[in-house]
Amino acid sequence: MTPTPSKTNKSNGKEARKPAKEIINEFFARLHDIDGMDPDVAATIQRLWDDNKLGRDELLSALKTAREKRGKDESEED
Amino acid sequence: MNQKKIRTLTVSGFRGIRNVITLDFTKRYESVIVFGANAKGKSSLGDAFEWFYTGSVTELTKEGCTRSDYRHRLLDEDEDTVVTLELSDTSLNSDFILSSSRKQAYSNETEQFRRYLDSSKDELLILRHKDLKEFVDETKGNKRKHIAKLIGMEGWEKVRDDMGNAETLLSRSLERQRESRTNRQEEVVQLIGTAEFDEGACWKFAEQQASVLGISYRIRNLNDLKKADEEAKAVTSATEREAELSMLKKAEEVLQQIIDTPQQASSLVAFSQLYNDFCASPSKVLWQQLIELYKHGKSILESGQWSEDVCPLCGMNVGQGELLTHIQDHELEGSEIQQELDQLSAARAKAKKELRAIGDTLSAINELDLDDKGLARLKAASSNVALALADAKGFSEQEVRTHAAIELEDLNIRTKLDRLTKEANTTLKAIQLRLETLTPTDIERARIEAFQNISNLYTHLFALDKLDDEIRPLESQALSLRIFTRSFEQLRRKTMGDVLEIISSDVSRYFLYLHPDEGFDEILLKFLPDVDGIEFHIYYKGEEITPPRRFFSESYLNSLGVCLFLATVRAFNKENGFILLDDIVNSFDAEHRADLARLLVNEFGDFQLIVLTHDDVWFNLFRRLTQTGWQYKRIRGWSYEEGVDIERTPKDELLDCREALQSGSVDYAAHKVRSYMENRLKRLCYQLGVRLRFRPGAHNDERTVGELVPEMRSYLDERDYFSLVDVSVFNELEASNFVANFGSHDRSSETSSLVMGDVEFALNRMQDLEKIFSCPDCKKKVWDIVDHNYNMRCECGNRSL
Repeated sequence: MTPTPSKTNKSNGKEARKPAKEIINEFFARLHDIDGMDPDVAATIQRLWDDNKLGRDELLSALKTAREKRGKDESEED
Repeated sequence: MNQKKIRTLTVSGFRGIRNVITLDFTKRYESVIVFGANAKGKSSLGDAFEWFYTGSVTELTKEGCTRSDYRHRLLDEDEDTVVTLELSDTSLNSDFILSSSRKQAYSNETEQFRRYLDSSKDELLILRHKDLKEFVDETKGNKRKHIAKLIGMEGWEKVRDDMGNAETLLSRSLERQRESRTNRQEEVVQLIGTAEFDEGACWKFAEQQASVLGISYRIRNLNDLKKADEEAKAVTSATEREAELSMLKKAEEVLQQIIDTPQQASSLVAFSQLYNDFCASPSKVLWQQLIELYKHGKSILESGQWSEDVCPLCGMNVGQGELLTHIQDHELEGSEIQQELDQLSAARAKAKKELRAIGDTLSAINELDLDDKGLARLKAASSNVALALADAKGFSEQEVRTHAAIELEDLNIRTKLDRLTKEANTTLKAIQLRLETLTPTDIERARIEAFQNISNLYTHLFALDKLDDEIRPLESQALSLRIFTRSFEQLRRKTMGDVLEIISSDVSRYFLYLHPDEGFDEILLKFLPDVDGIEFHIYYKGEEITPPRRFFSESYLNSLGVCLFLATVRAFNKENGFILLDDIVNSFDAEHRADLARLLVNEFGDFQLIVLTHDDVWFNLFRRLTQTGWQYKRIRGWSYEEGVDIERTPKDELLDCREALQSGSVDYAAHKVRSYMENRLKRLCYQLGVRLRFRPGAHNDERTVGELVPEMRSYLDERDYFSLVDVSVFNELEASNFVANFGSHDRSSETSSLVMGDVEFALNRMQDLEKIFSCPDCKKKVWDIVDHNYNMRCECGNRSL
């Protein structure tokens, strides 16, 4: 667990803030809501994040697999 | 969350602390200020505290100290170094033990304690004098990293960097594919003779070419073109002569291409040279191998999956902080090697591309079908190149794992390519001779040309179709990654900005507390997106100044450092409601020391503070400022054999005396009680302002009970205090056997003339003596209010001197 600005600040009376971990998790959970995002890409990124495997090489590899799969599916449809 | 407070902190056998020392806050979780002169073991307390929470002591590690150096040198093999922390949440109580075998472990092995410890590692719990300016002097980028770590956003930057890199690589790949598409389209444009690529023009051109061969249906898509290509092939192969002419034309085209752009394998040679240079250095190969291991280890450590303070590889006892530092050092040392590896990677990609191009040429040669001896020799040369190519491909995939070099010369690939070009030249001449002897008619030439045009057009459009299939998802993915990185960066900046707003607000407030009426308007910590960093901005008499060093002296920088630490603690410390401040007042100038004490007392009353100082003035200032909720301890002395000796509180000493009275040893009890009485009487004389005969240096402390009691009595008598209180307690004390026979002699005196009752009597009278200075009405001491003439009185005035 990481420390976060968790308590009401004496000087400015701000409300309790969300932990950074919660903020980033929410962002990943709502990726598909972002305008212009390819739903498949959003799902790939989210899956890697949930599995704690979101790195550059892992993402590129997953996207390549997705492209190949899409190509294969399309050629089967043809 | 209910922040934890310390009930007791007990240290033994750690650094300069030989015997057990306990800071006890059991009753009210008070704060404490500990005074100790330099080299009296004060810092050992702070180090022990840090060691408990982090498993190591940063400053000692920097100095090259190992775990063995944490143990007091005189500890026996079977004695352990132990730091015990009892907290308000008793389920988290634990010993932290370091044995002589360097094994260190917590006695509390529960998951709850492990989680608590992990959380605490991320909190700021200690501030030392030498760390004060550390953050202030950091670069903007490092400030940002520092804050990101504190607020749990450290992993965010890795996400941003990884996703940004992925987007860059994907975009490059997309660019390459688009470039290939443009090249293909240009070839189509050249073929069909239009100004620009137009699909409709392609179909029209195909129909025109097909009509030459008597094929007369509409061509509107790739399937139609494919069908036309197959029919054109059938039509032109209908006669042996046309088939041969067609193949000769195809061969001419392929061979001309080989001659015009002869392959030299220069990229492959360049790659092999870089590779071999790298492998020739054993240290570089070793670094490259270890860095992968280290990177993997780092990701495990950062993920929190490995929680033990033991190296996961060699099993050596070492703190996780030390491990991470070691890995980071290794990364830094090899930054130049990493650059070489990056160059090698680029050269490898270029070599692979070149090998693919050679492979395409060989395939085209193999597809030629002519009864020609020269072509047979060309194909033999092509096979030779293909064999070498297979090995070369293996080399291009080879990772730098060993010192083994790439023996490219053994493949003779350049010689084989030269041979291929030579054979292509010879074969081309023969083919061109045959073409001349066949001398096709105009109709034949037109038909062959039409067939080749349809065939080439189909090849190009088929490749374009494939490229489009690859480009479309790439475009969508690259766009999504761009949107992702932009959105994520916005979130990162906003979150960081929100956090800085909170910190800035408190930093500013604390700083103005320390420096009121000095012209400062505000202090802000700002996020600077251009450099991805953070910097302080000082607003002084309406003017903005940054960075602080431009304006601030060392003392003010220290001030800023304290304010930032406190603001960060206030904002982020979630688990723990206590902090340890080690000699932070050192670099404050005299006029701001009182303000610092007031800031701590007034703004951090809800925190439990452990303040260590070697400044006697500041220590006494604290005593004056604080009435309740604080303990005051002095380190009396330090010795190598015994370690730190902390002065005990009167209450503690009184309990010791009562226990000694129960021990049965008159000698032991008498010495305890005499020590207690001397300390209390000295303290009372100090509070009352009793004048004693001057003695130089340490002799001034050598005042006996028999000397102090009459002096105090005389002083009180002079001030007519016995008109308010009963003097009998003095009579009884002075007449007691204890004072007469023991309390008036030096510390080696015998106690044989005393009985336990004498000792107890003296102790009880001492307590009675202390009571005469308390007002029965307001309950305050007679020295509660002291004027400049040293006249003193209690709050209500019923007791005065």
